Amino acid sequence: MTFHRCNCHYIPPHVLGNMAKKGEPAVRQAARSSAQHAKFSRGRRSERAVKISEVLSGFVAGATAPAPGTGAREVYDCEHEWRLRVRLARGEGDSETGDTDVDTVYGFAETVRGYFAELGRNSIDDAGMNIVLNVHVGVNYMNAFWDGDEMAFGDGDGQIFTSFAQSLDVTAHELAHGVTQFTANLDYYSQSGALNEHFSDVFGTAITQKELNQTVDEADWLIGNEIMGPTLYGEALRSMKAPGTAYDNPLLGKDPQPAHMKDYYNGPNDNRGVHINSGIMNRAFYLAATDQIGTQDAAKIWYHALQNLWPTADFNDAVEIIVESARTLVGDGVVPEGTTQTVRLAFKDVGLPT
Amino acid sequence: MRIEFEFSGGYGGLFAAKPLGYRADTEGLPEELRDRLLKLIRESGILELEPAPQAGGPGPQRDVFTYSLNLGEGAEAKAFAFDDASAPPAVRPLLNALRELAMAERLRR
Ligand SMILES: [Zn+2]
Repeated sequence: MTFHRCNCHYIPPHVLGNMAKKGEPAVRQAARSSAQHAKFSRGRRSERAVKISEVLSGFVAGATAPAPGTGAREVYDCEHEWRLRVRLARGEGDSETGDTDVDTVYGFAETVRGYFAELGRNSIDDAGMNIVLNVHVGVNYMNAFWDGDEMAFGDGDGQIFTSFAQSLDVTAHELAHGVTQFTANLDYYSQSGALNEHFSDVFGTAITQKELNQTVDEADWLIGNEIMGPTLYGEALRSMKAPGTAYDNPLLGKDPQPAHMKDYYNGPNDNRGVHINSGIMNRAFYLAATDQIGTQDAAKIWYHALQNLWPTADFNDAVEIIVESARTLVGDGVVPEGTTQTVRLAFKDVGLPT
Repeated sequence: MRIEFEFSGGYGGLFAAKPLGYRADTEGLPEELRDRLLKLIRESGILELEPAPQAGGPGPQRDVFTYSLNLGEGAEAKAFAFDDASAPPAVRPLLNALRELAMAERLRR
């Protein structure tokens, strides 16, 4: 058996990402489709073509053929195969399928799309990119990820983790990785990588709090608690309020996140701590939101900053740009007077800037 | 066959500071598990892959699990590095099985 290895015409995906961001619409489209071909994760092009033609000719009952570039949702059922886009289960405007993961994630995608629309954004790329979500990926797969173009959700094993498609937090976090890719395009390494993770947690939390109509005091500020199965019930994966306290059990060990720069993780693992040091920034966001600003205004500031950051930005750069964004939004009357100082104080309390 | 496996990462940043490992010699395993693993290895086609293909820079994938896998011993050993998005689809069932074994072993202790 041979494997499709697209080393031919290989352009590093982050370069393609930049091309897509900066280029004209035609370049963006070409860069995006080229980025798709550079990956293993979906069926080969010929397989994809067959599937789409099947859909167009009505072989897949009840599913609407995807219209490119309308911000439409496309939920694929991967039928426990280890590849994406196996069968289009629900397109934009289609009726319920009866599959709870398909239908739930379809609803979540609307919530997240609507949230970013209120911030003035047209889908993931701000150009109406369709929102592709794959559910039932693999067998007992305990994860969700963003692959550069689309989202993938596993069912979990039912014991340690339940279905990742059943969490708005998770869906918003993954979709926000797409938004980051088409804005600051933060490198997934060291501090810029921790910022990348941080922004996804910010939108995961902000969108969940908004949907549940929670105040900062009512919110749990936990990430991943909804997907814990019986083995880990009551635990979470991250705490924005108190990083380092989300879990402590024999299976996962202890939550390694620091809450302050003095405990910064300097090791080589996790791309130099992208899921670890994000705790410091998460705690600063929590402090800002709970000190008068509120989560939704804080998220507006962070979203403004995300559009002004760059791939190699570090924590100090982010502090500078976020504070600058606060000033801009105060000036525009979007957030109240005093917000800038609150944000600055929140960062000071976690030891930033250094 | 000697198997040395490690994984970490994902949405949860699981085992981020210290990847979780699974080590075994298929000869010393209970028959059922040994047969299952050898079958997965065979069906994955992994031994026909060139070891650790060099990627052309960091990919755009976020929150994937990352894996290291060594198969065989001494001069025969092959070393691989994968993540969920870049692993050949045929290899993914093997990676998933090893990940589940690693977690089950940790739970037993
Ligand atoms: Zn993430």
